Amino acid sequence: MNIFREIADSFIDAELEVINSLVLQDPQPCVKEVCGIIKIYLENEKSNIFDDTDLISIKKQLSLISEIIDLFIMALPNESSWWVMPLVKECYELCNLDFTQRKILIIHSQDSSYYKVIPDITSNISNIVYDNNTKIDIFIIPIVACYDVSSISILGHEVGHIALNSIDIFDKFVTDEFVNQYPDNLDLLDYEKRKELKELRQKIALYIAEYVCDHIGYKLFGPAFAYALLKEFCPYISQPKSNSDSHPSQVSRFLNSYKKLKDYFSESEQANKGLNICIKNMIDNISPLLGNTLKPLDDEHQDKIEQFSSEVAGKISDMLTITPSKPLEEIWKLVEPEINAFRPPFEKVSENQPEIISPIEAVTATSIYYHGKHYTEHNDFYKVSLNHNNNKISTLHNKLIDHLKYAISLYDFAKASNKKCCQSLSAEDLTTTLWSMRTRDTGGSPNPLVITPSIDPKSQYSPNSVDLRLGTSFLLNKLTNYTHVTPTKGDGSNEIPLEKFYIKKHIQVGDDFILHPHHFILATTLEYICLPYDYYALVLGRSSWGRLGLTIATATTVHAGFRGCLTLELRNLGETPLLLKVGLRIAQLCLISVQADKTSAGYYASSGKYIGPVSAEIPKIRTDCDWDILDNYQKNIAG
Amino acid sequence: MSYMSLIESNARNAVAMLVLNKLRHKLLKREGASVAEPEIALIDKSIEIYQSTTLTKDMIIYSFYSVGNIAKSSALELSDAIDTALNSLAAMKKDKVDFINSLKNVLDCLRSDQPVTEKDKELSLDLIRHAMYTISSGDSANKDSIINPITF
Repeated sequence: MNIFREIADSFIDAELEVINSLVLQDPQPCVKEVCGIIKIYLENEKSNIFDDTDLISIKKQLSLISEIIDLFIMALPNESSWWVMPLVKECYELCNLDFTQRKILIIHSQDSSYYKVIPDITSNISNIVYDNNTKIDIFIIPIVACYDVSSISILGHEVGHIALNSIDIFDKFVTDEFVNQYPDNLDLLDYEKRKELKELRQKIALYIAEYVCDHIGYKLFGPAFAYALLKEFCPYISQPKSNSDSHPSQVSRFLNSYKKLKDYFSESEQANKGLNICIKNMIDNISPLLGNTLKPLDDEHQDKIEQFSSEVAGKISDMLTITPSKPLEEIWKLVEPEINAFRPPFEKVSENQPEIISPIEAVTATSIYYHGKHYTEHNDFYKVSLNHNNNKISTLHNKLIDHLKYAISLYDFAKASNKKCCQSLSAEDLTTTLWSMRTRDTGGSPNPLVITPSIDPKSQYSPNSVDLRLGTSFLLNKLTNYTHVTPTKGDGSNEIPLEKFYIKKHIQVGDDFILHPHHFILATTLEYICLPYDYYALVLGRSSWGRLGLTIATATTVHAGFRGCLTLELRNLGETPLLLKVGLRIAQLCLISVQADKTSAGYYASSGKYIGPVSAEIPKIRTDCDWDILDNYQKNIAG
Repeated sequence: MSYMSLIESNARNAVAMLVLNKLRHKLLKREGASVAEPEIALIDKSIEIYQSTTLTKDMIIYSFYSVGNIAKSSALELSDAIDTALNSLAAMKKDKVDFINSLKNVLDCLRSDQPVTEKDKELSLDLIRHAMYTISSGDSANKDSIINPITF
């Protein structure tokens, strides 16, 4: 074997090892398929190495393959973002992207501060994957998406890049525009001029793409997207970053977004008042930044490039047929009551067939709701919570995001069920069941029992109880080096966080979970429960499961007025493992009337610890006041 | 550059490198070496871009990343590599025109299944090798930006 082949072998074998270990981790089938093709290609390439030039060629191929394999590793299902997929799918649908021909991989990245997208990743190894018709798009979702309600809509811009990947309007249109704009620069015989023009061309091409993607973002998410961009560029408006070759200046995009946001404000008296006030508040949040702080780029050439790119992008976006599912006002009317009631925006609650809220509608309205400060007068939690104002806003913001993510994650299941089980459902069908409490009114105020999403009301609701399904969130006990759990408050130095005893797990609807004999886990109900203030509830097992040895709850009381998914304490008392499927009916909720007047604020006005949960939560026993009482007592005795 | 365009830029360079190496293997008569028609067309297109005195549609369309076909778009990167390689050969007092004409002759011969002259072969191999090293030397410049891309 020659020395060059020996060197190449070591490079190739190292990459093959990485690929093998990826395949062993059970990636998505499309990834497995591509890995198989790459492996065959690399094995064959080993025999094509004869000299130093072959070595640099194979190193180039390997560097690209390695980059792609790294992305596949980051996109392994365990690491993926569990909630974002239905939102991406809806954006694809509205952008007329053929979903059957594309696979989507999600990377939920702690390392990235920005959204990123790589359309059709396998086309980058087109010399290897010649006959692969399936396109694989990779989205990198930054961790900030879990902490900022507006930033979720930036996904619209990223989907824009996928849409651009699939349209052919660039062909003549952009060419003509470019030649018209830069006729004097065509001195292509000069090497330096040629390079300069190529760089300019690429810069403009990238700018146009970015502007078009912004337009797609506006079309998909409306004011929510405009506001997200404004927030994104706030840090740079007084000190714009140096000119980027790939992105137009932040100032220019900031001004475009501001103009767009103002366009959503309506002067008409017929306009929805609540929505209009929100838009006005959003504009007012931004307006002070336009004064002294906004510094435009002091570069005439750059300005010209940006203006040209922006104009061309505007013309291209006019030709795009992306239409939101509903006008903004309708979206607002659909979603606002749900957020007001401190519920995940699954559906418009009614006694008849519920109208499902789509992920884009949910994101758009939630962002407007929060940034337009609509909650101050309308949100049930905000109005009754006894917390300090800043804490209240912070808790509300976190919960709005949790609820939003939860509603998005279950959208496909809720939509499919709505189509199958709720079609032409009417109040008469369920008149003798607890379903009729959905629109209940007591003393002139709404005081309903609402359980969402509505999956199959006819089989779930009975006159005495409502069946509940196994949810997607689990907390599993893990083996540790600690001798025992100490629920008491420590003095800080010896306190072992309760989190150390649990592993979080998310399982998709329809997937299996095996509960082994005598194992104890925390799970949740799939449904989000809103109890009236004059009823408390008991959560009980279903007898069919009980006969198989499954207990579902040990602390069964749910307080009047509680809102959230219920945490279930599952244990398999039998001697054989039990296969549970996420989404199966597993528990039942029974209501018990209590004496309460309508002014009672219920759970959130008391010191309720579990606020609007949508996942299994670690016990918060350390926040109990009992520890202080006992501590105080012991000190007194000792003293 | 954004992450997306960095990956595509690497991909285009990888395609360019692979096609050049295939042609090199063919000229060196290595066992099993072959150059397919689309690969010959790609090199042809890159020469056309290099020699063009006017801005063509392809030159503009290939400037866009994530639009169209990466293998075809890599003609732009290949043209760049040939351009830079020819400049470095010219710096060694060699005539650019001889090299580019030889490469064109080689492509014609491959298409018509005619034998390549020794002179055309030597000059083309020299140009190809220079172009491949040009592409290879561009790698390190890209890497820094991948770690900290400016994007979304």
